[in-house]
Amino acid sequence: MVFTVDKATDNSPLIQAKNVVKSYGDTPVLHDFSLDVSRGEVVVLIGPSGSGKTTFIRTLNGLETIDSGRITINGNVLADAQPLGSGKPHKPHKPNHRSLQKVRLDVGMVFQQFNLFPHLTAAENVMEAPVWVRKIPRQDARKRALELLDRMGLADRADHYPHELSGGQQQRVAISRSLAMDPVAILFDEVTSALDPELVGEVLRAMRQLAADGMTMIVVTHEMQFARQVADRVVMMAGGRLVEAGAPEQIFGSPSDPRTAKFLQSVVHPQ
Amino acid sequence: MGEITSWLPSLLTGLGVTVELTVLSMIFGLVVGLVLATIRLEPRNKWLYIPATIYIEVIRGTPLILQLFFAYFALPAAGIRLDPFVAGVLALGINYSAYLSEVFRSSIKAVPHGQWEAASSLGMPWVLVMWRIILPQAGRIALPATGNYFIALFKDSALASTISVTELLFSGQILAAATFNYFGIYAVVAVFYLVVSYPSSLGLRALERRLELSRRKARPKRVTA
Repeated sequence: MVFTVDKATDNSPLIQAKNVVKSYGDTPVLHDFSLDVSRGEVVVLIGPSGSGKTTFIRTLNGLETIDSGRITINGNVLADAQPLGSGKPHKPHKPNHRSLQKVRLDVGMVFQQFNLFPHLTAAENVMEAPVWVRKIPRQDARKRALELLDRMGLADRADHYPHELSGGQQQRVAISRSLAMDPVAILFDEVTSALDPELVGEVLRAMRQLAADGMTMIVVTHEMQFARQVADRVVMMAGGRLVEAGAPEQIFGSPSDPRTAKFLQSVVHPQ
Repeated sequence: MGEITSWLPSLLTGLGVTVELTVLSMIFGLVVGLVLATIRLEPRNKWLYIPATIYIEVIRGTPLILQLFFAYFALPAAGIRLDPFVAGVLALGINYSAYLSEVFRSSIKAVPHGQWEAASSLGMPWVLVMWRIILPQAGRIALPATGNYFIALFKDSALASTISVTELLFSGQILAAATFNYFGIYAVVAVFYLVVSYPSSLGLRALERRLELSRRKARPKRVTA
């Protein structure tokens, strides 16, 4: 069995999701959703809650399975499931163990609730996967962790435990932790939604820095200002479908779909 | 007083056996309990889940003393002849593994799901997630209940006297039968149990406090070259 079917070349999309379908029981969450993301691109997913944004990015590192469709990441097939009625008995596609592992090494994820490991210090959180998964010597891993934390403005917090850190600091540790595995892309799942308003800025600044450094990012956020300034492409989702996608100026300036206009209206001028 | 001194050697030997019995049974219970808990995390894996569930229900649904009798008096009929001490460790260990597995299972489930997601999204395989991320947190949750079971096991080990393990209680019984000083001897036996169980529970409470995450503080900054 060969897991790597597509060989990544520089001009092929880094992340390719084709006709992804997913439901929770009888509730459909993704309808035939397709999206390609190129190397170095920053894609921001926007849309009302329940539109499938979070579910979609969670499928990209196998935290959610899909019912049908095909997902390839950096040349590795993460999911390739037959659509309903294709003759084969239908089962939700369960990613193969090894391809899942490979993809997770390639794609980092930052969560709304930070999910730092509470029994480890900031530096240990960052070192954990490099040491245990990549088998990097502890000293080298720590040196790298300190560099990453320093880049996130957390040099003096390296030996603190998560409960001693503010939400914004925890989230920046989480970003460092994900960077420590040298991912080809990072998924951001509403990473500022759980933060006090005054702490949102520091996390967005860190993300802006990453984008400027050329990291491929898929970002689910309600921070429209961030989307406008940092995104290469904004994707509007509703009801599990792609409504429209385009440059931020186009989506925010002259949305072509009334649903986009309505959504932006509700976000920018909440009643 | 001189009388008490004359009891001490055999009671101390008995206490030693009690402690050994407790520690070995506890280790057995911890290891098997953890395996059972892990199996029962995944009900979809029926071939392991159903036997593990039957094991737990049978053990929890029958008296410990009956399990001791089974190990010592019934197994020989099946051609398995165990030394009383070994039979005691086996029966106590099996009994406690069933209870401990439920403690571990609920503790593992009490670790937020986000911890699994964060660790696996870093590419950590299941075993590593369990060992490095989930168990250190679940262990802290499980510690108070596990500690209680440890103290309870220490006292339950007295039941091994019924299958002629010369532990503390049985040593006392032998002395009492020879001297008829039931009151004196059983009082000393009681003190012996207390002298171990009370400091143990204090020690466990101290350990709980020591491991409490909210008490962890950043180490003073190291001067690095």
